[in-house]
Amino acid sequence: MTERPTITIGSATPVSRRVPAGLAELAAYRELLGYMTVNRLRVRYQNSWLGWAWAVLQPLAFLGFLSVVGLAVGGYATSGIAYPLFILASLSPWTFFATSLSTSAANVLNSRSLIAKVYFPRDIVPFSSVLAALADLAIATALTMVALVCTGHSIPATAIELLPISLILIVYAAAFSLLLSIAQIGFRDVAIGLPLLLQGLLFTTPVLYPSGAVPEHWRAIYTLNPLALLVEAFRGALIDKQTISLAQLVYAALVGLVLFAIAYFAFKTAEPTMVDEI
Amino acid sequence: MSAVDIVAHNVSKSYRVHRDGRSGRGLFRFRPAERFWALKNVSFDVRRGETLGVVGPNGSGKTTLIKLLARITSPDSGQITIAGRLMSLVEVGAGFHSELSGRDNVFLNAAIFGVPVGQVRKRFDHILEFSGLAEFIDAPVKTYSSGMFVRLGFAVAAHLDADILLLDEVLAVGDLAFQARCMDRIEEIRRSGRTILLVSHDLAAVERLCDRVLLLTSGEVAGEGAPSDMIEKYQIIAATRIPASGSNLEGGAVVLHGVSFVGRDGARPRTGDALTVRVSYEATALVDDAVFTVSFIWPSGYICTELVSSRSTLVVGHGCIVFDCPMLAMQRGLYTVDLTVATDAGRVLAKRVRAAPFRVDPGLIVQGDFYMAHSNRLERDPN
Repeated sequence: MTERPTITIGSATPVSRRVPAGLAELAAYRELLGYMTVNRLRVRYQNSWLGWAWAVLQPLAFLGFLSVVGLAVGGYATSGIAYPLFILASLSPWTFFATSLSTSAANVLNSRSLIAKVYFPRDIVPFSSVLAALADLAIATALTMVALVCTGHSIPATAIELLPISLILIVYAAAFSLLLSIAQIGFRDVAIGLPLLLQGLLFTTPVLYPSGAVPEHWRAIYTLNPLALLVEAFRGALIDKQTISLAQLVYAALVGLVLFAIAYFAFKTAEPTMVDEI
Repeated sequence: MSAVDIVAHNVSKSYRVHRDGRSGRGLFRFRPAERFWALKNVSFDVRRGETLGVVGPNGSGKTTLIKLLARITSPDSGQITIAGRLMSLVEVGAGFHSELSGRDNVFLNAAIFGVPVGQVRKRFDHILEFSGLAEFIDAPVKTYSSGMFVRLGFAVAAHLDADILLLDEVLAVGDLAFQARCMDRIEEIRRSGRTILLVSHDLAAVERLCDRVLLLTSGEVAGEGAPSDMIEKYQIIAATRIPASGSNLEGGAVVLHGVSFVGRDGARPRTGDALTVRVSYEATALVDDAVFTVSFIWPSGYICTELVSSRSTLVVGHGCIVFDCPMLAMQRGLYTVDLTVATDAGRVLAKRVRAAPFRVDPGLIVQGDFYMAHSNRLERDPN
């Protein structure tokens, strides 16, 4: 008889093993993570008349609105790039972050019946939500690049920086999604307050304006917000006007990893009995 | 083989109770949570290749136990050790996504149980055949009937090789033909040497499929042993909980007071022995065509058999109708008894539903539901 895996239920995973053991299990369940991500996307679009066109249509429509608003209001000095494109370049990473958080929170509650009936690493629910949002980011970014080319710009070599920047962004989205997921099980207030929180974050992040518009004496505090750095860096990489230094990115990455470790630890601690409270 | 696949040691589990439907938390309100103990110090083990049945009344902790074993939730205290890959079917079709097709759901379901895609591909034809859903497999499962849902769910669970299978009430669903196939499949899995834990209210299935039975009541182990013994014990417990029926009929010319059962020489009723049944009544008016019926009901609710009196004339006052049965053919077990008195024409004068439990002790042991009186002889063909 082949060696059988033995598991023990009821003794908590030792504190020091909680994060690595969780990640190892996640790796073993990567197929399920893939399925859940794909299914989220599929279910979102497959029954709609426009289907996958929605994924492109949403950022495209937004681009249209911004163009109209940009013409009417004028907007900020946008370093030689059309205002709508300037906004879209920072709005996509922001939307990715915001969508990750709100869908993770909703999906944990929506998956109640699944969580109550089968075991699987529960972190797959927020993680698959983040990955599904990532697909939207990829589409929106591609669209921005197309729009750049159409308006006579070229795709800059700095676009390669998007990869590490996105990676750090994913770490943040995942960390906050994990925290929100467990927090809202105990406190339903989270789901209610989340839009408010996101609104607040939107205004303290250079999404709708360049970070250069922030008064000089606030700049130091402003750039402590890693999300502000990441959004600014993302845009900078796309339109070839990088204003974020490598040191600032490393700072963001380190803070992100620490946050993720804390969030993952908290999630794994709450996980064994989270079903009782959902 | 003496290997043990599941060891549960002093397992307890409690849930927070919200009596008024609100959570205990609030900005201006905090109450210490009340706790309901679903399981209290439960210990047992399941040997490799064994089929363990778990029976008990509703609320006895059966499902909580399964959820702990399936790692859906964790115990407050105690430990469970499981050796082998475990697959649980807490609810048939759990984990199905209603918007996805049957085919997608098979793979999704397998992924949830950590079964690699390659293995599912190999098994897919078997799963499809067992479910009998070939022509609907690419339709979203939200369009399935509940029966189809169940068939697909069981087909997936029963065809992915797990070392240990947890089944909770899966036999209660599906039509008779599918139930029969489920039973056969469970029997097959059992014979292949895998360990099964079966939770069911279908006591006949438990008796047929299980090697051993664990009886739970109010979250505690009330017994553990041979299926027939535990089922009987369970039935006795269950009988004391059967509520008085609201469908009794009174106010006619006759009041039914009660029923008693006496076996041979005053002993308890046993299969194969004589039985005397006495129904006491009180007539408040003259009834010249009364017919008494004593119905024996199986735990499943089906009628097992009945005693019907001849037409009798009742005068005002108390009395008793006595049925003499030369041989009790019913098998050991616990039955409930309905009493009826009606006119010859069929007008019911009084009826008592679940008037009493009727327990038959083991006597002549046979398999099946009845002892059939018989004799036998040998006949040789003439040379």
